[in-house]
Amino acid sequence: MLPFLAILIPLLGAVILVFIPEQRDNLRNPFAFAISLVTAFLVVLVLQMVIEGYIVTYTIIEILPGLEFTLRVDPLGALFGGAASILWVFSVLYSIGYMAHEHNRRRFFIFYMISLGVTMGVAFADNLFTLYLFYEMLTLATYPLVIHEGHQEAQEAGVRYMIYSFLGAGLVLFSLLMTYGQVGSLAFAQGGIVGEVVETAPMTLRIVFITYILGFGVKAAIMPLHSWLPSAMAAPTPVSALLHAVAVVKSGVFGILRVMYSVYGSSAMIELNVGIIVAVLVSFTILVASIIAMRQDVLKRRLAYSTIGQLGYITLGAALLTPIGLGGGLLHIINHALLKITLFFCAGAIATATGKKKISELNGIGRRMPITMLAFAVGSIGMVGILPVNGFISKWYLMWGSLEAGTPIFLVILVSSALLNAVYFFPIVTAAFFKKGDFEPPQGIEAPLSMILPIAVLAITCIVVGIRLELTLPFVEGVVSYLW
Amino acid sequence: MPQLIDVSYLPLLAVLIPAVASGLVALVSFYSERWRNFVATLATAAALCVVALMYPEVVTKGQVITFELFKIVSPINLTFRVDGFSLIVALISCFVWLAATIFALSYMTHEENRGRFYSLLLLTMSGTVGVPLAGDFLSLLLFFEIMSLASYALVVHTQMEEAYSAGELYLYLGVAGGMSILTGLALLFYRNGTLDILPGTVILKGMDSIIPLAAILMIIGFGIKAGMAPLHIWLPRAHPVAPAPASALLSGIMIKTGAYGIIRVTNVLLVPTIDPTVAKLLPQYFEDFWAVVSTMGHVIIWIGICTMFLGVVLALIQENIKKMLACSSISQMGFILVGVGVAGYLKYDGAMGMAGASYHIVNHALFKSALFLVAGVIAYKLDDLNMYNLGGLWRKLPFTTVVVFIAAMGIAGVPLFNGYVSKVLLHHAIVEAYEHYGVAALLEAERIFMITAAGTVLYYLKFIYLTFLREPPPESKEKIEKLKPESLAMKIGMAMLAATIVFIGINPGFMLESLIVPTLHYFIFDPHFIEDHIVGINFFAAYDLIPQFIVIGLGSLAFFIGLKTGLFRADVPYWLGQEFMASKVGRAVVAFWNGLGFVVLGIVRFFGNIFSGIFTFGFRLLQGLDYRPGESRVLRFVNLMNIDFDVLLIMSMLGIALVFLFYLQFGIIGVGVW
Repeated sequence: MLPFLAILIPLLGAVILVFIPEQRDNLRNPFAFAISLVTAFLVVLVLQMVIEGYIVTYTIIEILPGLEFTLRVDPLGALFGGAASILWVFSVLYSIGYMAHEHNRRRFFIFYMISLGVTMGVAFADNLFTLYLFYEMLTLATYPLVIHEGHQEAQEAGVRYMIYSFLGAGLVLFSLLMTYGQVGSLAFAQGGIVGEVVETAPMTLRIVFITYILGFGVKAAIMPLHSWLPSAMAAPTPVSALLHAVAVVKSGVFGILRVMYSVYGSSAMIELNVGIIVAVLVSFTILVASIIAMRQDVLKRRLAYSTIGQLGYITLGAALLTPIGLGGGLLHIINHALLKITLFFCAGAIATATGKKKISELNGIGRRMPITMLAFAVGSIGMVGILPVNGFISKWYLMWGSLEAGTPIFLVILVSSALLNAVYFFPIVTAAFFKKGDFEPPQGIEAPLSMILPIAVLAITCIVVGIRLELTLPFVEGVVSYLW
Repeated sequence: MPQLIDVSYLPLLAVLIPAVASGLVALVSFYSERWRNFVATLATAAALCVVALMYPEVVTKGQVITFELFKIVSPINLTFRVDGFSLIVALISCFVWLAATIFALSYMTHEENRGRFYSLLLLTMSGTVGVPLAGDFLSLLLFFEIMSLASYALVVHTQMEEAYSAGELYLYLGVAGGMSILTGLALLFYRNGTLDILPGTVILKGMDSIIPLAAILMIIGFGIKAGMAPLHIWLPRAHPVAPAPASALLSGIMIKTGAYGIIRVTNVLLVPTIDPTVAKLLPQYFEDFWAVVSTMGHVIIWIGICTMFLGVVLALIQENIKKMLACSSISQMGFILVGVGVAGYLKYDGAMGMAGASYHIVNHALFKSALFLVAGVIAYKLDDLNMYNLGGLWRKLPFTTVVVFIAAMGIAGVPLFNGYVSKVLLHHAIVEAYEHYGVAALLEAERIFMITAAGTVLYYLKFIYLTFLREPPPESKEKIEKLKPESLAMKIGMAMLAATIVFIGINPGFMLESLIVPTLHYFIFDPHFIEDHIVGINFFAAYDLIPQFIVIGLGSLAFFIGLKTGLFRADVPYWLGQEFMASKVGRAVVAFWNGLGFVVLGIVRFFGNIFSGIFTFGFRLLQGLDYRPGESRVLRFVNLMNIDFDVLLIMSMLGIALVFLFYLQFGIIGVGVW
């Protein structure tokens, strides 16, 4: 029941939000915050149960025999759901500050809550069918958020987002039917469900695997299927932060992980030898995204390309087909979520406080917004993967994993990607603090408190998680041992 | 060598005090300058005391201090492990840091953003002290990166355009160095499953190609920080632009962490254990490892020789005092690297090289920092660091003049000053290296060593003469006449360093016995060799004094020749100058050169064009994947009906999938169902 509640409460909350008039901010904001808090609390309860070794299941409805609408929380789902719901609390808090001067706040918060519920659904889906349904719903729920600004650019971005997502989902549906036809089941299982089909129809499984990857790869922004993501930057910053850090892109990655380890299973993956295709595709993505990112002058677009590259790390870790590599990838889900959401919040705070959106306009902004830019520095260091910040940990496991897998080429790719990351992240920080600009020290606090607070807390969390491995590793190890 | 182990929180404290104080200073600086200065100085002094408290444990009792904290990555904890060598580096770092901080109290009054400066100075200190105290390479890297990133802010502190561009180079090379070390560590960890800084950890699985590769990557990474020859390019740009106390620490202390890392890689990590049972069990591995150590040592000797010579050449052509000092640092790092190299090259008998290197690490920290502080005084008083614009400062700044004399005599290796002691040890080391295997090239290396030492004498004479002794040039005479004496804080800072220089110079044996020799026992060296050749060595034997006097004589002679002929200012030799180029011979040379260049360039360009064509096309293609409809010319041909290229890809994939689905269902007509 608990996972169902975690989905239901935000959706019901959204319904209630419909009845709060546009101007009643002081009613809506605490209510939205409370919903996200309750959801996070429920998810943490589930998480606790999963850590203790239970697998929580709940069948909502059985459509056909063998085609159920079922929820089940296993360690992987708990990881994704936990990260998403906890970060959602921060983003709601942040949105309250960010949206204060925006229009259509009611619509925004309604869909923000619906997205939360649907994301939980993606995380807690028990079978491919349920996952697919929630995956489609996520597109629909986030579409109004992407086009929130309503201008031409946002509309175009929204259309592009829809086309891409539905095409990707279409591929997923195709693969899903293929799987059902071949295997006769869609339920996720420890060690995969393909079984002896590996012997009977290996070629089919390989091709279906590729279509799965391409289908989920749209949301996971694997090149060349990424271009909806930078254009979706037309959305308000809290939305982009969520799109990028937690909900949408990670649901794509989550889908890939599900397919790899809950549908195919590690032994079948190794037998079919499909990991290497994904790994090659993804390493291409990692490097090219970094190169393109260097040329972006709009801060949010640069962050978007960074996301594309960093998501590649996660997929790469999974595709290495070693427990260590998988662990690195899973750790990077958490770490990247923390880092990227911090960076996006910083970008939003800068835009709110000064109206600057381009990197070339940010010279000397460290004087005006010291806390924000320090947090940005922490995020950048983490993205590069330098030691005191959490990005290092996942990179270390990925490097280790690529050596374990006997493919040191990926080590080279990871290191060169780290250097490229330094080249496009550090100039922002150094220019902010050490280049001359016409910013004055702030009068009072540098941005609304509800924006600065999440930024500061998240940046500190990044460092704490970076040096206290006990906070993340045991759980991730549990997930790996479950999946492997 | 069985060693006693003592668990103590002191190393953690030494790192934590500056780190906490860094945050505290950032807060306090909003309220009161005086309290901020007090906190900064107190924290530095406290860290020095904590490090000094470890001395009795480590040196007197011969114990290793360890401390373990939480995990950084599984299964590696954040560990501290303090042996004698760690203690030397940490101790000298803290001592010089205190002197520089006291100096900064006065110096920084003419800089802005002082709160930021002190805060990051302390954070850098935390990293720098942590590097030698770390117990495994990953913890070491943690502190190394903290130091690298925090010290960036010190380099660009003035926020001038020049500082910013130099800082960029510093930052990126620092990151690249860190990544290089990290790659090496990943290889090492994958191979061994441990990263402890202990000899003999790698021997059990034998020698393969991964170990040397990892070692080389790590040496490159540390070499960037150490200013090792081809990787030194950032150093002459980054060190001078920082505020003087920061340059003193950059050049005197932080550069040593690179040398420290190289020593830990070549002389500890790669060295097989001396444990006789292991040696008996794995005789083949044992020899293999010593062979690698020796080869690496040999290469490092030559890198060191190149570095020291290059440094001298660079230093000779500088006019800016701080630039000259930075180049001199490169040169002196070359001396240290030669010692490190000899220690590896001679394997079990390399104690002399290590003694020289560690002694020189201490000495160079002292005199180079003192010299940078002197440059700081000049910059503070006159705001001009070009030697040719200065002169006659000894009348106005007598205290500084005394300090600069002491420091320069130290660095030039004048007997009774500290540099002489370590140079004698290093000279012994290189002579031993030659005698041990009789490689003739090392005799040449010894000569270059002596020439470099003479060159050092030369450019310091030039510096002192031009800046302090000669009559001031007319254009700056007025400014110099108005000089006021140094402030008390500056005097204290410089006096701390100068007094230590003299103290070590007069009692060379004291330092040797109380710090250096105990240190050597922590390495895998022949204890009898240490007892026989290093303990109680007579530094003032004729055998050592005469070459040193020859060196000083040569340097002075060259100085007088240079002074009389005005050679110092001849920046460009005649045959490279414009007049020559304008003459007939010159034109012929230029024409020939251009012709040659034309051919060579033509070939290079030909291939270059092909490659760059391929790359450009590839790059365009990649960027074309993210274009707005109608903008990209490269991909317009696929831009059908205004649909993006990647959407097309998805659609075609869908198409293929559908075709495949149909094929599965029905098969190709006439072939039958699959």
